Amino acid sequence: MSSRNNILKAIAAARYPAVSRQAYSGSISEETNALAAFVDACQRNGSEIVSVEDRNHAMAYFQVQPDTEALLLESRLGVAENGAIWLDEASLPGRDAPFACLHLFAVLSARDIVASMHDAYARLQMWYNGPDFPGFGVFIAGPSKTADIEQTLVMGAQGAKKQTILLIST
Amino acid sequence: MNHKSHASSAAEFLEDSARVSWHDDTLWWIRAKRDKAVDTVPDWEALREAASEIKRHTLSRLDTYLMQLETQAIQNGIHVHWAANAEEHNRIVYNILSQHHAANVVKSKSMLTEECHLNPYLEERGIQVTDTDLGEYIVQLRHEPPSHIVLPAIHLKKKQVSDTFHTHLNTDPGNLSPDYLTAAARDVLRKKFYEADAAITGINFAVAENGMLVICTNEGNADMGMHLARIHIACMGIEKVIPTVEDLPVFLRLLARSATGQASTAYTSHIRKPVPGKELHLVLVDNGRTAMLAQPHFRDALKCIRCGACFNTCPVYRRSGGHSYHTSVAGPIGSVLSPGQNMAAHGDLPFASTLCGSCSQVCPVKIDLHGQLWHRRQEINQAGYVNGMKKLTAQGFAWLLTRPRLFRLLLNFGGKAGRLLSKRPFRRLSAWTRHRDLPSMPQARFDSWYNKQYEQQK
Repeated sequence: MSSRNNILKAIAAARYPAVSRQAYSGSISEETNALAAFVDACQRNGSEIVSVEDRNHAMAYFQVQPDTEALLLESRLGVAENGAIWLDEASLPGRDAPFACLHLFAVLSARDIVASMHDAYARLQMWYNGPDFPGFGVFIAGPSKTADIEQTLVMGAQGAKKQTILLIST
Repeated sequence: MNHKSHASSAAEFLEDSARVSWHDDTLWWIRAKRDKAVDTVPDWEALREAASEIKRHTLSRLDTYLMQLETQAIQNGIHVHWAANAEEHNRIVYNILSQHHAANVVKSKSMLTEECHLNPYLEERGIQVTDTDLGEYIVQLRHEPPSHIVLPAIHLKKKQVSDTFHTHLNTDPGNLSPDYLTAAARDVLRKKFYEADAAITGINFAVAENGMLVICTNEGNADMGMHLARIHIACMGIEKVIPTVEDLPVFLRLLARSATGQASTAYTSHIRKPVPGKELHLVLVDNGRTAMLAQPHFRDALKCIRCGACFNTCPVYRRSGGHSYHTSVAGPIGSVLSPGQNMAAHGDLPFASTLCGSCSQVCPVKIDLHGQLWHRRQEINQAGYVNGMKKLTAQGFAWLLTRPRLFRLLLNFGGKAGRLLSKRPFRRLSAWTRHRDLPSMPQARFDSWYNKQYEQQK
């Protein structure tokens, strides 16, 4: 307890006039083609995109795919500027699941793609009633990767080795 | 001081000139990737400004936000601890582990735990710690510290990694394939994740308004660790707190682009509550940060989000290597931070810079890094840690430059002196000319040439 008080006391002793807080509304929602940008970003982050007609089609695709330790999940939010998809605790069989599997499949509707991370968090705050986020949530932008050996990009460092987004485009 | 100075370690690093060029080019390549990523963001400069202002605001009311974070975290079921220094941080972590009889610990990258030298502390007490970021795992096997905060093994060639893995993991000798080597490490580390009793991670951002911790990795190692183990201990410097969820996208859009030129890291995890039946601990560490906050010249350095962009762009870092810096955080930001913690040990680092300002240009939170390096030099000089020769030279120049007549008179001999000094035997006299050629000296001085032209035109 004493370290807590000492730290807070030291901060109080260093007190200087507060720097005012400014909100940043840098959303780039006018982005004309979020879908094209999302597909492009996925290409760069190593995700494969497969167009499907609907959920049933996605399921059928998943059932015949050959990889073992594959996992099918559903995302309700994709981000165009970086190709990330959001998954939260409610959509996961366990927190470790999207990392421990070898091939992650995610169903995403093109309607649920927003332009920027600002838009993404605005939507999350709407879902979660402001800051009341779930116990765990994650943005995933492609498979696990590393370039720690002479800067050579290798997919599948510790987490999933492959990622496929089953994109419902209609 | 029980380590070599930056200058003498750098001199050793520079002996292998082919390797220096390789190191230099590799880091510059990452800098170029950063530029390419940044160019795709139309509001980049506005984002940097916003990030800087959010951090400046937060630091100016740091106590308020830390208390809010604490309250929220406790409500979420997180155990919150406060550590004044590295020793206390290590003790807190050890006590949590020993209470749970945790013998095997997996750690994901955390510069804070490097700063606190947590690994040796735990190992001395019988706890096995495995660094799980691939780069960190490689340097851990080699008993080396990381040489870069984002790219821990950037100083190593794949031949060295292959040899290390052959020795420790029994991989095929001479197989240099990064795919093969990464897969070998993956197999070993997967086992470690499933066997681990506890996971230690760092934190990228802690949100005060809802007590949520955000961790960014490319490998997924932090997630494998913390979701599989019974106990998760997250360690953060007190400057990592940000006020609201709305601030997150500002930093997340800057972080990976600045670090590696990626639009985002592969994983951006948000942990708010422990899974029922598991434990989540948060350790808030000061270790010199409040002292820095009290110094108006240096408090801006606490804005740092540890992206490493200033490393990759720094001509001195690229050509001297991370290990020359004898600190857990190298590069320009390390040279600003470390003397604040121990001036006697790290007072040489602010001089390992040309003050070219490239670091300040790439910094995503607009830390005036080269200005701070200059301020550190003044402080270090006043404290008497600058070596005599450097001081004498500077004083000599100051004396001469404030005497214009004498200066002009001496300039008449400058050309001759320069031609003489560029001859081989004299080169060794100055640190500057030992590794460099002096430019060839013109026969006439510029000002006399100019005056002559001017006269002729009249």
